[in-house]
Amino acid sequence: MSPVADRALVWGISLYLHLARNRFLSLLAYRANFWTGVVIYLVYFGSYYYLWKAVFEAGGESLGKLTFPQMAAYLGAGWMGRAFWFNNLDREIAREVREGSLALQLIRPYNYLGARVVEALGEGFFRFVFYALPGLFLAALLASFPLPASPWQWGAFLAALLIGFLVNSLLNCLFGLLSFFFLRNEGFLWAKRVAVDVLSGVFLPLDLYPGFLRPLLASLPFSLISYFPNRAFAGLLSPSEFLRETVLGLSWMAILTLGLALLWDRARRRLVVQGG
Amino acid sequence: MSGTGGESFAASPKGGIHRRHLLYYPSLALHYLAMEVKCRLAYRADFWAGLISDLFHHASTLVVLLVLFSHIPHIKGWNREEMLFIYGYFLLPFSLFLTTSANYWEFSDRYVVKGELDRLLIRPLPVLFQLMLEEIELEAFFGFPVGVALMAYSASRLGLAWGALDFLALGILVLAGTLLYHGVFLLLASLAFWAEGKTGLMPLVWNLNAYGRYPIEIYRGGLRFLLTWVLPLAFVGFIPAASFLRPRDWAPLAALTLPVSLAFFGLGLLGWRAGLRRYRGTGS
Repeated sequence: MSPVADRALVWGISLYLHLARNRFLSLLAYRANFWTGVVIYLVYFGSYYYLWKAVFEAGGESLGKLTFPQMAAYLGAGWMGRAFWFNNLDREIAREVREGSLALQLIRPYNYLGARVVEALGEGFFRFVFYALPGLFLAALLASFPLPASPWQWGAFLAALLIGFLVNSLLNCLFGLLSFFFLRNEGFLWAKRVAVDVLSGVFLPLDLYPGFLRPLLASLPFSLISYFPNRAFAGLLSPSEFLRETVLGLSWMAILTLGLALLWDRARRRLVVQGG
Repeated sequence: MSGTGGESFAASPKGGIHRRHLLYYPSLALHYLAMEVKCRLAYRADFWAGLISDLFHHASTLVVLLVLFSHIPHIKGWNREEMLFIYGYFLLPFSLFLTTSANYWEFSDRYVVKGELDRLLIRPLPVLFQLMLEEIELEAFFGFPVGVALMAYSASRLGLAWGALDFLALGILVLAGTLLYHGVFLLLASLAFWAEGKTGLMPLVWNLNAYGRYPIEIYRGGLRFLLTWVLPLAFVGFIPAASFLRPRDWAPLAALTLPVSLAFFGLGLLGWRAGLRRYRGTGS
């Protein structure tokens, strides 16, 4: 690589790192909300924790292949992980398309979608560090479920969480860009949000669905968002299963990126800047 | 229509209804509704997508319940049909509340900080009435027929016999539950008069609403006490629903639904009026 290209690459990477860092720093202003933030996540977690507790009491020691402590760990990871991967990229992109401010974004020297995803990463990182991790430790204490025992298990959880974040963000970009074609597409965004909540396994591990649905649901990209990191956290994945899920995740990321590139190309040509 | 005096007719030029007429507010509410329908139908595909996704959302909760009950016979003694009945009941006050509460979420930003409240204050209508109806959430209302269908299905499976009195009680309890929600969130929205900017309390309480739709027995002592007496969300869903299923156990408690709801709505109104008196508009 020539020194010039080399410097361009370094410049490019540091640009995106700066975008992520800026979003993170701007959110630090909200750290006074720390306790309400943590409590909100605990309340979320609690509503499902008690339901599942009653379910396991009725179902005996285990349900499917899960024991109750494993289920509690799964739920904890699910709700706290959601703090990291959940973002409003779809809405933000849709708004910028609708309001026409996207035109200004397009002349900036970065990849618009890349910049949005990196900013969302900074935001997710903020929520994860300030709300989710403390929430996770508190939940583990209150609900007495085991935290990952080994550094490898923590690493697997974090790696899976990152894949989940990227898959979810790519999906969000895809659905946000649909507003190029529909102008007002909140309905589609709602449908997508519901699909993510149900099919990603936040509420319900996919193992508990009827047998014929399981393989289908497990191969959809949604399963990577929550089902994958939650199982990694609860220690339900063998190394080979972890590897298989990672490959699935990378494949879906490639497919979604390709789809996004095609859609972006067509969308740019359709751009209508309203108002004047 | 009384037709005396021309000065206090509703805005509609043809055949307005007098302010003191019983139907004055309902007819205005219908106007607000018609306005919202027209706005939403301008983007038809989006409206239908929103509606379908809302139905899908209810379906998803049902999927969770049905999948759970494919593994276990009952939760704390409540079987599948009873749980569906409770959830169906919960949807009635919940959807009525959601339909008329969209502006509580925007209240701090849109009405207090940006000063849109000024616009409502200069109109000859109760401010709260305008606030509730300015942004009607049409899709949310479809939870109502879904809830009715769920209740009808499980009531027939359970062989519940309903008389006219039960329907009357149902109507009163559902309206009371809606008022209770309105009281709680009106109070929280009114906090914006004192603390501008987000307090984070509203999403916190919002997340608690999931606790009202499951049997209260699944919660431990402290939490159960909180949900029954401090922030009585159990009165919106579980307690009144259970009184139809097992009247002997739950009817005495369910009888408190109306007084508790009125008390909370009154509290919300007090906070709201105190806040309105404090409001001084925005600087710009």
